[in-house]
Amino acid sequence: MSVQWENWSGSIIFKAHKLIRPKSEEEVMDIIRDASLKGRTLRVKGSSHSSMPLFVTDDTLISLERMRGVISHDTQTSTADCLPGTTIKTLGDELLLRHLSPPNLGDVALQHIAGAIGTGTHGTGVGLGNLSTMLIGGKLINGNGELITIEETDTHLLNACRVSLGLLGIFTEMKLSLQPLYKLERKEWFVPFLKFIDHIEELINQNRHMDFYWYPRNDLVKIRTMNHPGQGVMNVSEALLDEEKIDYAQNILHKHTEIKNKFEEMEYELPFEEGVKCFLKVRDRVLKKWRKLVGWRLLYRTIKEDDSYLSPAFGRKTVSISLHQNSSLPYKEFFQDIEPIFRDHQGRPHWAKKHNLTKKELRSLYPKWDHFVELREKFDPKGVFLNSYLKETFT
Amino acid sequence: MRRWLIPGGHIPLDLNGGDYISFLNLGDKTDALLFIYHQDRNCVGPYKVQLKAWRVCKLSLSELIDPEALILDEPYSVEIQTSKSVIVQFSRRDSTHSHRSLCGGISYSQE
Repeated sequence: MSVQWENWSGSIIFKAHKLIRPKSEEEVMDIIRDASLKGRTLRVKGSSHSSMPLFVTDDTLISLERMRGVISHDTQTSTADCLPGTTIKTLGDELLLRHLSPPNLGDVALQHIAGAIGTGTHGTGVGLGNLSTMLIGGKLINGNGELITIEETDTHLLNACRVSLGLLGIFTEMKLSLQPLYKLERKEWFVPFLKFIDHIEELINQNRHMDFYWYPRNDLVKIRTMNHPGQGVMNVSEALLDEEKIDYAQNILHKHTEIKNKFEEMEYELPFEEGVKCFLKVRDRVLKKWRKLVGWRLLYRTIKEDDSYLSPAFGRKTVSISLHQNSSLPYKEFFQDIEPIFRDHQGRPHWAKKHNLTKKELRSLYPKWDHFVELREKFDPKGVFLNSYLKETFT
Repeated sequence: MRRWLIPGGHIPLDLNGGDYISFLNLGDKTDALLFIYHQDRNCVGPYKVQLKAWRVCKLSLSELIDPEALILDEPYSVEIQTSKSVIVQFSRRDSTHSHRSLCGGISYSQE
């Protein structure tokens, strides 16, 4: 029976032929083998938090919501195996019981871990990689219905699998590299932008996590830092402390366990040294042209470089800049106007947020693109995991 | 239900300008619901504002984003609803005209 589905913001709406909710690895394998045999296609919907048509299909939509939870752990090595449909919130809660914490998380805790890893979702912290860097092994069913065990030593496969947009297969288990349970202290300050910007590099380098929101309607900045309790630096004398909280890392790193307000988002990830130059240009453009329509804040974060072939942080220490706009107000025009600034600064788009790049443009941004595409063809020769957008981009 | 209507909203594009609503709640905590009316499209709302007991709350209308940011330099009207009696003051800062940089007045609710 067909099912209508939409992403969380409502900008992507489609009708899938059917929705299947497997409960086990064997069921996933059967579904893929059946699709491969019959020439059908599948997409996993995750939490439907993506703003790009990654999970859109007119064929079979898969929900892994029944495959959730941490299944084993090792406190000696600070690792855990979890199921792919585990939400970030559930992962944090279950790791707490096992005296483990994630090294970093994003702001939102609604995503499934497989989707967050597969799209290169990230938090902030110049010494901390995106969520995909937690993945050190696991099990995946490829497009032929074969079970692939990914070992920590298989660097090529891991680098391809981490940020893979569900193109290589469906994960049935994910082994994560974690840390012993620890606490973080979150602090948030408000300060005028021009009082803040000269201090940004020191704030980034001397806090475990630091990011900031810039508000176009009042030109204020909200600086957010997270550190081991008692550590960290705030060097902006005019900054007014607005909020502080100490808790276990998994309860501090994310801030939203629900999102009531529907908004659209564009995010580009740039070489670290381009970050401030690019942000100043974006701020100038927003103040001159978009302030009338845009009340939403812009977000500036940092990410450690990594080796994942399709990671926007591949090979370079990274800054991300995000634009937001209410989904009920003009957002396409806003994003299209700012996007060339990001591109001028060698930006790579977040895979799960709005962008307008073609296959040719994307390929030019990723030095290991062809390595990934080669492996995709090997893992999914019949294109079981392709939809029209992904086919256009990766074949 | 108490209801206030402020028909003459307009937030200037100037970075230093803005429309503000101040609430004085001399009672238990309550919520205020705001509805924004436009010239050429449907009303947007409610915008929910939490009013703590025995506290002042100053709201900058240009900074609202949930459910939708207000569009600057366009006429709008505000309807405010509360279930309890509170005191409401609307004020405007418009530094684009130095001779009328601040104006405001207290509104009394219609019950």
